[in-house]
Amino acid sequence: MMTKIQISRTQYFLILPNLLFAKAIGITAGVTARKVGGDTWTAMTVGFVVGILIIMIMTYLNSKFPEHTVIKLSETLLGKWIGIFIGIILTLFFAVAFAASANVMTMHLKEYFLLETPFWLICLVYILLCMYGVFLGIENIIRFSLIGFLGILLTNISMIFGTINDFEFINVLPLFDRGFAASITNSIYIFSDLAMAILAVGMIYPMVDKKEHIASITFWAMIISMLLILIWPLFELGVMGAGAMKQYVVVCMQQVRCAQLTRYFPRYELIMVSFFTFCTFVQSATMFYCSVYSFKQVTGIKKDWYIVLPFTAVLFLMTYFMAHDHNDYIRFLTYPWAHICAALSIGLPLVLLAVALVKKKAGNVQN
Amino acid sequence: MRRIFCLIMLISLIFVGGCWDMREINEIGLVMAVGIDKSPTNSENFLVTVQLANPQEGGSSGDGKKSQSSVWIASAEGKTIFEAIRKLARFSSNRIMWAHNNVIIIGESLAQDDITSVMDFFTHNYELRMKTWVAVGKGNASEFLAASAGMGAVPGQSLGDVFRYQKFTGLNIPSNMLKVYGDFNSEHNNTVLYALTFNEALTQPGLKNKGENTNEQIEVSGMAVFNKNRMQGYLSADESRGLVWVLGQNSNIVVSVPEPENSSKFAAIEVTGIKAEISSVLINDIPEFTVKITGTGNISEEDGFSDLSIDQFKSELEASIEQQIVSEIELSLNKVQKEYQSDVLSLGKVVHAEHKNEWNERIKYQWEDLYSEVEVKVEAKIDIESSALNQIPLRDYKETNINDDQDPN
Amino acid sequence: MGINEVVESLQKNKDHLINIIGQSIDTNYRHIVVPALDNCPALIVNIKGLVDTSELEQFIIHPLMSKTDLSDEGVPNKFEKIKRLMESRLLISEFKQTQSWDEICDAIVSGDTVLFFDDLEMAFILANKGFKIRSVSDPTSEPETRGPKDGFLEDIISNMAMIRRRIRDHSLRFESFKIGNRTKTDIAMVYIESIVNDSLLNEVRTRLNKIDTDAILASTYIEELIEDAPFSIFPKIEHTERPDKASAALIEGRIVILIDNTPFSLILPTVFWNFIQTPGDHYERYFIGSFWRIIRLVALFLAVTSSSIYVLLTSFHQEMLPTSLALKVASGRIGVPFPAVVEAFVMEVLFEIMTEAGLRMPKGLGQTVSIVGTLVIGQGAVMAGLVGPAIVIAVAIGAISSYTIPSLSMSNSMRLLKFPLLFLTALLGIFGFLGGIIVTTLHLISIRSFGTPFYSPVTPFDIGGHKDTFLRFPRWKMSARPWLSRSKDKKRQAADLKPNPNSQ
Repeated sequence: MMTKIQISRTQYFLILPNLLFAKAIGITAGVTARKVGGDTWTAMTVGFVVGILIIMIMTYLNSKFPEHTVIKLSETLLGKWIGIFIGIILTLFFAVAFAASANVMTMHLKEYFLLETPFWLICLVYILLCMYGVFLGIENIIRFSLIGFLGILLTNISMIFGTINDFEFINVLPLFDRGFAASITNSIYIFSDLAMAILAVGMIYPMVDKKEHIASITFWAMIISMLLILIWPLFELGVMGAGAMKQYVVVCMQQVRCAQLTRYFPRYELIMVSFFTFCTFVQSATMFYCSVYSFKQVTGIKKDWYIVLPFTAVLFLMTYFMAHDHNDYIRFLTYPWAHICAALSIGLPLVLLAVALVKKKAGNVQN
Repeated sequence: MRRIFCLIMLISLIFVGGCWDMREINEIGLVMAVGIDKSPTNSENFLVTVQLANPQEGGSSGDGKKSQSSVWIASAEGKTIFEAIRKLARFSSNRIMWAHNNVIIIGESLAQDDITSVMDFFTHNYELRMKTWVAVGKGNASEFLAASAGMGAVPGQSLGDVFRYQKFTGLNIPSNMLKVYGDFNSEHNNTVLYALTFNEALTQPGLKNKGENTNEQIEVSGMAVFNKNRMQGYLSADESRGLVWVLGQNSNIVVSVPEPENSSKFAAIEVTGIKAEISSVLINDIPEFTVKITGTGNISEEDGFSDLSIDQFKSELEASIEQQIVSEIELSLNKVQKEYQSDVLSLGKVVHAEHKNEWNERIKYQWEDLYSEVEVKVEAKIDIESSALNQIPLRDYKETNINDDQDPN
Repeated sequence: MGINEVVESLQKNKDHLINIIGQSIDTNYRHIVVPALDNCPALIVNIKGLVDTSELEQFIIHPLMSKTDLSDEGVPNKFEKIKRLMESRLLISEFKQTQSWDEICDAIVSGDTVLFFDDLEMAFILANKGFKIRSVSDPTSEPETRGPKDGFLEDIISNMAMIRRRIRDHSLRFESFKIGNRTKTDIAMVYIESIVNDSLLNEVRTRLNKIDTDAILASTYIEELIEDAPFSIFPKIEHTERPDKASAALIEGRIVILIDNTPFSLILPTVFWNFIQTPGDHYERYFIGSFWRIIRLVALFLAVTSSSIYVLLTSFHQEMLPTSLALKVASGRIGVPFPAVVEAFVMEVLFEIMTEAGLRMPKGLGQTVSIVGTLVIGQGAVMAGLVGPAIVIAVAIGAISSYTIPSLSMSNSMRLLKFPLLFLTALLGIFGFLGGIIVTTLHLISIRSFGTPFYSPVTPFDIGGHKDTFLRFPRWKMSARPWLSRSKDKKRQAADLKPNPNSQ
């Protein structure tokens, strides 16, 4: 049986930025830049606005069923078989999301630091790390998110200090260069990150100990995440220009390559990646855990070991093959992963909300 | 329990392979400067020359005798730059590492042909810094690498330091890989790079260089203007002054203007806080630009006597400076716009930012031709705030008709 | 074994006793005759080294053998008469009666005197302990410049007295246990009843009662048998030799365990941050205390990571070093045959050997060996070209930083942690380094020490707890008890104590 895990509200507040940050600044910024050039940050803003709306809907749904995860919720509202179906979809979703998130880290390392180490070794070590985190339980991963959050703040602050001298405002203008419509259609790429947050919230919500004011906590956490993330494409645009942004696989590392903290740290990628690893780890471990957890909810298996070990093996293979060819990985993220995420994360809460409202109107649902 | 043990044993097997990325610091050769030329024998190939730092033996005890030169220079040829670099391993005892590279020097012949290869190679690979200085050498890059610069022991590092202090000359704008690559990749601008020559007057006794010209030192003289990936020509020091007014934000420029009452003597004013605002207006669908320069001045030297009051002195000087700025910018613009037809001042970017729809629909496609025709008006406003330590202009007290009590200051 | 309880026959009792505890030159079986009881024979049994002989002679034997008559009034039987004799004549401070041989033998081997009377099925245990105790001296393992200079002794009664002198709260409790089947060591669990958390108390009590072992010779024996997460290398229970530190812990709502025959007492529950705090932070003003805590935190980090960072920067990521430093380090390493990892390992191991040697050598040799150590390791190895000078600095920084950590057990754990981290860094560069740090942090986060998460108040985040974690807030700000003890009475002092010239 799932032991009663308690998360405090502060920890819940801190985990949301962690879930969004790593992949958003690394890969998504580059993917979006290749589509809209200089309008990356406006496209991401539009995406965030929609994402915040959806996450509030999800929180609202959760608050009506405080002890249910999103899977149990779907079972209650839509019936057992559809609930199981959604559970399986979510397990797969979290698994692929884990692979995508783990590959952010492996990409960083393989491209910039450890060129000759075999790729499978980096994947393996990272997966073992996440397995250890999952094995210790979600409570510990969430406690770790404080350190992840500190890492995010330090990364941002040091990046700003390192590049502020080279920031030219004129590179940011004009706003909405390709038109407002282009920003809206291309906001879909940020959903590959927002989906992780929205659906993970659905799974973690029952574990929060005191549920008052959760809605405002979620809202402010998302606003802060948005600010922290949007600083990156903005500065990247100002410092490097849209043309350079489009070239790179991992845009944030390129930005950091341009940074210079005083004369004595001319290269500070290492410092940046050290701060960055903590939040990436939280993101990956949470995805892994949610995948295992959804599987547990669907099948009802109690013991952790039976699920975690096979999952590790499967996820290792998935991670390796996804990013073995770096360009394939980016292509996968551009299409179809972003679209799948957007569909799932927008569709599921809306469908559930519609059904809940209909059932309420008919007056025959017992909460 | 046994199962866990077996698992641990299996996992440890992967570590048997070895440490893949480990390189000892004394086995790597740190590249201090690199020069790319067209190969003299085969104009399709590149000639890459590197300057590796040679760490001195016994450097820890502090009094190691410098019996060897502090750098080691080598060149190799190849069809691509990467191939040439790998060929260096034929005779290098150390593994070459690019992370500390300070300067990239492009030979004149290559610059006139095509610098895309240089731009791409040095940003494509992770080892290279984005703040590396890039310069064009008037001549062959390999000669520059063998020469010395400044006072430091390692010439490449020293040259990097020379570039760092160029902002005090007010004669060129910094060209590091970040800016150059950004301009190269942008849809509007074009690049300018430092241009280097030799200066025979400077001597550096005791440092062995190549062959006969043992005392030549590298000097930064002017800038090289590019159009897309090809060098169009050089700007002399005077001609690049104009660009510095517009583009050199951190510069600290000294302007020497004739004194108000004594035009054979000059006063030096240090201008800081230079801001350039470029705005554009569309007149008959053709953009017209206004460049406004503002800055604060500081009188640093007066070469002649004057009996004006300080306010008069200042306002006269301000007028002279503003005039001089306008003429300098116009001189540079003339060269860059009419002769080289290269948009270095990012005028295109200004049009894009201010009139985005017209740019996207029409002007973008015509810009190359339009650029040399557009009108640019220049205005300058300098505010002299102080006269360093002095309160009044330098007076000739030996002249008998000055009365201090009437001095309004 | 024959008889289970004391019988009437003195001889049988004596024989039984000799059977159990034997007869050696320090066991004393003294037959006396008590005139006041019609010359009833009696037997005094004690162990010579453990009792105070002059007390025995003056306060026990002398009154018993006095010829003054004892009145018989109102005395129904012999037992009552003997009791009256003991109560009116015996000058010893405490006595009690017993029939159980276990108690009698325990008393004898603990240093009390036992008195048998003929024809009485009862024995009397007289308090008479007089073994030699060390006099109160400086606690050598935890010196403080501005604190009291008394340290715990090996005698539990004196230790209890030292705590009682500091805490005069009426609800201070000392619960005693006798743990160890053969050592029967006295253990006292000390707590302040009105503050401490009851479930914590029960948990500790249960765990102490579960111990079933032969011997408790030092505080570590108890520590290892009651701690959480026994496989973790980090200590989860603090130990201290200072009574002021123990008293401060009691006031915070924690539990102190005193153990006989060792001056080190255990304090629990403990969180990670307690290991970098010293009483000295509270004895100096808050600015200085906070500054030293931050220095210790930096030192903690350096102790674990200094040689790993050296290997990381020189073998894997040379681009991070400023160019001139890179050239200097490279020139220092010219001609060194081993890779940086091997250098680091060798220097670390040599340093550990030197530390251990420093502990073991006799005092007279201390100076010589330290000079030899410095010369050999520092200068000689570098000049011989076995190691580069930079690694000596890195290892020295790491080693000296590890001694800044006040708690020796934590400092030792940190030094042990250096080696796997070095190994991981050598294997995978930055990824190994970060992976090692993440695994360690996760491990630390997941441990609980008697119900309190090991890393609180950092995570789970408790803002109030931070007044005494990284910085020490001024005394007038600390109005609540720390969260870690989950005590019943949260309020510690009045809320507005900040000194102010206008306040009355």
